Amino acid sequence: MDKKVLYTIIIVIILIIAGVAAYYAFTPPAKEEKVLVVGTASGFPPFEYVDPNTHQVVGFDIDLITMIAHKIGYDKVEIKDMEFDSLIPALQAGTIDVAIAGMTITPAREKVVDFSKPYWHADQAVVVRKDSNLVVNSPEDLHGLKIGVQTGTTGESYVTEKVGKDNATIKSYPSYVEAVQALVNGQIDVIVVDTPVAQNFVHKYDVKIIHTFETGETYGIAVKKGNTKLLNEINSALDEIMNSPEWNQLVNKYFGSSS
Amino acid sequence: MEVTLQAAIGMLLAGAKITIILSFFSIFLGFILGIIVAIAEVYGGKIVKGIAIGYENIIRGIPLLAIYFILFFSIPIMLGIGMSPFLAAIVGLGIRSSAYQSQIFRSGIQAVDKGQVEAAQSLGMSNGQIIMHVVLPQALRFSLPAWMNEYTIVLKDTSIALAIGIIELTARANQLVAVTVEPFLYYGMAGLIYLAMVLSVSYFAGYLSKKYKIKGVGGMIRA
Amino acid sequence: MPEEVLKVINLKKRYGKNEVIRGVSFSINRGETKVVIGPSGAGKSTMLRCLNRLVEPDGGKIYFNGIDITSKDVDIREIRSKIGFVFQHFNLFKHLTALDNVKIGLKVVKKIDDREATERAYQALKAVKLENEADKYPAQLSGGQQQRVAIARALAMDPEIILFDEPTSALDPQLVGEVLDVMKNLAKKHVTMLVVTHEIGFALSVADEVLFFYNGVIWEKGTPKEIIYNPKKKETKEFLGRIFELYSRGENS
Repeated sequence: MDKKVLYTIIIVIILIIAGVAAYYAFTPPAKEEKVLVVGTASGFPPFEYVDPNTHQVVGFDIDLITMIAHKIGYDKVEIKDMEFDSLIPALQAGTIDVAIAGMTITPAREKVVDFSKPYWHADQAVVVRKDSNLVVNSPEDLHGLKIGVQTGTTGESYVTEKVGKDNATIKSYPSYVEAVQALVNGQIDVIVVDTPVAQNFVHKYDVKIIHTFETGETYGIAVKKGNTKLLNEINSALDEIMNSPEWNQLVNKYFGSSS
Repeated sequence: MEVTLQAAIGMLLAGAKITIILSFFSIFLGFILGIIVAIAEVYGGKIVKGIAIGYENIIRGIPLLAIYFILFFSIPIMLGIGMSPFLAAIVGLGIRSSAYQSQIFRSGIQAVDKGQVEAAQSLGMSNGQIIMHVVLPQALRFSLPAWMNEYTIVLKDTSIALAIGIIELTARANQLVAVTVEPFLYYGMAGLIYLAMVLSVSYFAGYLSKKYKIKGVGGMIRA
Repeated sequence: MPEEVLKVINLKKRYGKNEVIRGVSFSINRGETKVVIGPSGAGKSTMLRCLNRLVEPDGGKIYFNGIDITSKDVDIREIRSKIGFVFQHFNLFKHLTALDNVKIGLKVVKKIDDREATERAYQALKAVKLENEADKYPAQLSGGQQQRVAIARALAMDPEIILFDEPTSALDPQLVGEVLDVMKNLAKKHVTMLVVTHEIGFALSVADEVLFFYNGVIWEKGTPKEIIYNPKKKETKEFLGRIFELYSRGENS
């Protein structure tokens, strides 16, 4: 009687779901080792990206936080890859211990999380097509142009502030990939984007970096607000690393010889 | 960064596996909840019916992303108990889908004529027996086309689980594009994989409706 | 002493202000066939549905084998399984074959094992001469065949009484005969039946008593010949007059 088979299947499925649910809900992670749970948002090479060969999240930030974790007594780090916008809620919920994701230190973010001291200057590259003869040395040189930026980035706020919506057409794209396409297709004249990001894509397309703005904005490592103990440990480890040869090795690994 | 085609396909397939598993568990959680809600809406008393309709409207009013954030971030903050991202993704998507599936099953249940329910009562069947042996076997057949459509929606909505750290097919494509800056290639490949999944589902739906077609009754969509 | 299967005392049912059944009393003994006639829309179907509480009566008593089934303590599902019901629109389960339609009550309600249920269902189909259509689905059967399956479904449960609610009204005229033949056969085998119908011929040939239902009560009752050929009351005469007119018109056309 195939009805019996149907009910059996339904019951088995319910049991499987219940089993999986119970497994995930009640099995505590075997925590013998001291693990630092790190949140990041891959898709921002070379700071954090997924190596297609290993499917692991790697990058400058990952190496850096791993070094820090070892220095302050953790046995290993567990990387949780998520969307950038989920990082702060995840810190607040305690799902992750720290967030490192090329995150610019801003007053708005400082209200909800605590930041380590800066470890990187978020300079902005000005990218144009290879055949372009634009010369850009200051924000004023961008007046009258169509400028592409990535939504929610330092580039966007920098251009909005220093150039202004009245003086140029500012187009925001959900990711820099779309902005690059728009530039190559001639829909925009120039892109303002984080320097390391620009370095990652310039050799893929007929585009070039013609200038770098120093924005004064910096990346920091975020922890849950009030987690002063962890923050202090991270800061002293960061000090130690940045004043050692390890730092230059790390920078060279991901950015070539220049920094 | 250069990526071999083999590595890229491996990465996308790893994502596709997560997409399939997540959609499978979610659709079944939604199926079970959806049937319960639909039965409550059709056969429940005033209060039960009110709760069911309220549940359906509230869940349908909340964006999936918000459901995820509530499950994965707000509940741990408020109650101090955590859920793994995968469980939260299944529960979130399942709850969301249940509010849509309940509508599908409700109209399926209503398409079974009252006379048959009366006939089953007159044989001495209990309400539960009537639902199991008379109403659901027909209601599910009536619901199949709409239900398969809902499955394809769930399949695509799995990508929203990236917000809580589920790396499925879309997320894998994003990762590839980030390192290669080749959006057309990798989003195109991901699109083809989604297409293959949706086509398999509709093929399976066609197979099911043929197998369980009630003889002498026209199309299954007739209801 | 004849055994009373069903005894109804002062049955009442109202919908809002509309009192549909206003004090109906009658009884049926084992092996009897009683026919209820009366104008359409007068509440005959409602009255029949009150007898197994598909519709809850508002007042009165219904005794089934001496047990008051209007009492809240009674397990109405068990009572229903002993009272067959045949509907005007057949109400077969459309997803099941003829055989499975007949089997389902045996298996689900009576918990009879599959082999025996199949055997009993097959016998019931044989009794309505449909054993060769056992594997067909309702939509593949004619109206008359569907109603015969419905009768088999009631019969298979081995009921103490079968209630018929205008079993031939929804059928094309040429299909009425086959259903009536089955019912006449049951009557001859002394299956206890209460039949709501307009088929005067059926009443004349097999009924032990005819009840004329009018204005929410049993207006007049008697043997078929008394009621049909020699009614005492004006309303009964008028009703029968209309029925005869209808039938003769049907025969002329």
